[in-house]
Amino acid sequence: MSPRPRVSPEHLARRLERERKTRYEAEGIAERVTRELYQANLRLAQANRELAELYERQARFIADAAHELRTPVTALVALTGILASDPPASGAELDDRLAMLARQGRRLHELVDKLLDLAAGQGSLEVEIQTVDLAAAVQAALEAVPPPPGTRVETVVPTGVTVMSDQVRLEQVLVNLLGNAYRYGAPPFSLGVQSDDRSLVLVVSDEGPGVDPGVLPRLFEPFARGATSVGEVGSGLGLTLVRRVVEALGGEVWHEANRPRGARFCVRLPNRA
Amino acid sequence: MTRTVVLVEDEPDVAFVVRLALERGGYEVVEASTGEDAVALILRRTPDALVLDIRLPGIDGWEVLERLRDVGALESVPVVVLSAHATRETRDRAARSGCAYLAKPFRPDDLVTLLGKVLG
Repeated sequence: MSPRPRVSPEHLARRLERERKTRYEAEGIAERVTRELYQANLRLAQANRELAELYERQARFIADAAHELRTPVTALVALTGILASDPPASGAELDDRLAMLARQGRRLHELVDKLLDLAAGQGSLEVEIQTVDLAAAVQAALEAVPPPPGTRVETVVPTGVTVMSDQVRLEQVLVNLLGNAYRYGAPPFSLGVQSDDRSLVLVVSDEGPGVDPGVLPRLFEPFARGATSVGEVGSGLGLTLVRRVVEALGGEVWHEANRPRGARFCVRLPNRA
Repeated sequence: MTRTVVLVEDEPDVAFVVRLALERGGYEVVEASTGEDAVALILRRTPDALVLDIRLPGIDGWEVLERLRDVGALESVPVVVLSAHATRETRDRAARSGCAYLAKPFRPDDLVTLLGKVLG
């Protein structure tokens, strides 16, 4: 049996030093990984909270949409039931009932259209930037939603001016804002457009009673409606849609009180060169 | 004697058809389109029954019930809650408040039948 090789103290010291170093490095890695895991956990918790909020908003939206759909359906179902079992006594009465059916039918139609528009815009809304003739876009919007009989929209639009934007979306925004002015406001109506190299500002105003202060904080939320809403009710989704479109175009929309009375909706859009 | 029903509904077209149905059922209908008006109306004159929409501008239907009950104005007045918010929560709340419940949309005859039942 050969004698056991003798290990020098220097060799032992070197080995000890190497092992210490390895262990030190390993501890560093463990610490870093722990720290990263902790951060990842925080991010995950945050994402979870955001998802829960989103889910809740969606659930609320669906409940509200169902509520909004049920209201005209109630009128339609009840009225057709009554018409069938108890025909109106006069032609005028029949006309009244038919007008009501038509009104509620239109309301359902508009609501379904806007819901589909919003659904189509879930996630990212498609935007097609092209050269848009401002005066032509305004003209197209006014043709799509002409002012009520006996009224007009005063337009202040520079002729021959073009901007880089999305024509269809621009018209969609104008159509919604004009429709709201006719429905909730009162004449004189006005539509102004200004532009420069960087941005484009649209202003739609009326001189009606103005926006109910109680609804202002939620004005652009789905189905926000004032206590003073009268006449034919809208879908409750128009301004939500406007905001979504404007944001997809990289702009902003806001409301101001009009002087001396009424509402004023302003949209600023980038002029995308 | 004709029995009087207070109908609280903010949608004019819905109010119109409900009124038609109730009148056909032999009731006299008094309408209010807001919660505040309903409270004032009932405090002036107690009806035989109350048909109450829940979502109203201003104070809602639940608040109407609370205000009237706080002053004992609804004793022995049956209440039918109408709601387009057809959830279990609304139904349960109506039951807890001692109200009959009818989800929108409903057939007019169903309302008349239900009202007849709660009025005994």
